[in-house]
Amino acid sequence: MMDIRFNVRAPKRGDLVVEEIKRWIAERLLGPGDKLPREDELQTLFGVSKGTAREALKSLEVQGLVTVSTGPAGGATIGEVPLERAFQLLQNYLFFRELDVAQIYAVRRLLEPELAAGAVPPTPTCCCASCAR
Amino acid sequence: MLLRFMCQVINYLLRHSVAMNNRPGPLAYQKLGETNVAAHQRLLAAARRGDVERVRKLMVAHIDEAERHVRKLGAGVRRRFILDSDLQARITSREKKR
Repeated sequence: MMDIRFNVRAPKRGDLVVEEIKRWIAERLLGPGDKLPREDELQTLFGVSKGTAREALKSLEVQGLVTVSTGPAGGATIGEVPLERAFQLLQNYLFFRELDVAQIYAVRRLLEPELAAGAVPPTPTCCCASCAR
Repeated sequence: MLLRFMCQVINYLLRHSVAMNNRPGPLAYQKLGETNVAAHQRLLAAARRGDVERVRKLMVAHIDEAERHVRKLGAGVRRRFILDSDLQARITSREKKR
């Protein structure tokens, strides 16, 4: 019999909780400024340990989706991913890739003229007889 | 929104990942500044006239000119990570400015 092995790793508990929290945010249409349940509530909600709930929150924080504050009124607040965080992740991706100045300018040449053209305000249309000629 | 983001990515790469190998003298810097200002003045004038095609052409010319200039300065892509501490400094200084 052929021995077929699939390289499927079981996801970590913390990663599963991250997915659940993301679904939770999407289903409730939550947005920037909305609070996530407290750490102990997350534990109850997903039936996980304190360490796992904390790991999930840390992961979401690194992804830029929440900010975590301490103190009695603290907790995790949903936020828009800052542009800098998106660039940081992109830089991680590019670090092991071959990128040169020519490629950057080639893409710039394709995109920026279109952006500039799109920013030109529409010229006001005139209905007078002299313009119609 | 997406086109703007892609352009931000390109400008971010130019600012943070492209480094010049040749150190330009003050005259070269001045010349670059003057060329940039003139290019943007032309762009603004065309945009105010509502001349979309001219804006497109001027932008391509500006990018070509900028590339020629950075090539003269021996520009290359630096391999680097953006650290959380860099990120924090940038976000904090921006918040202070507000």
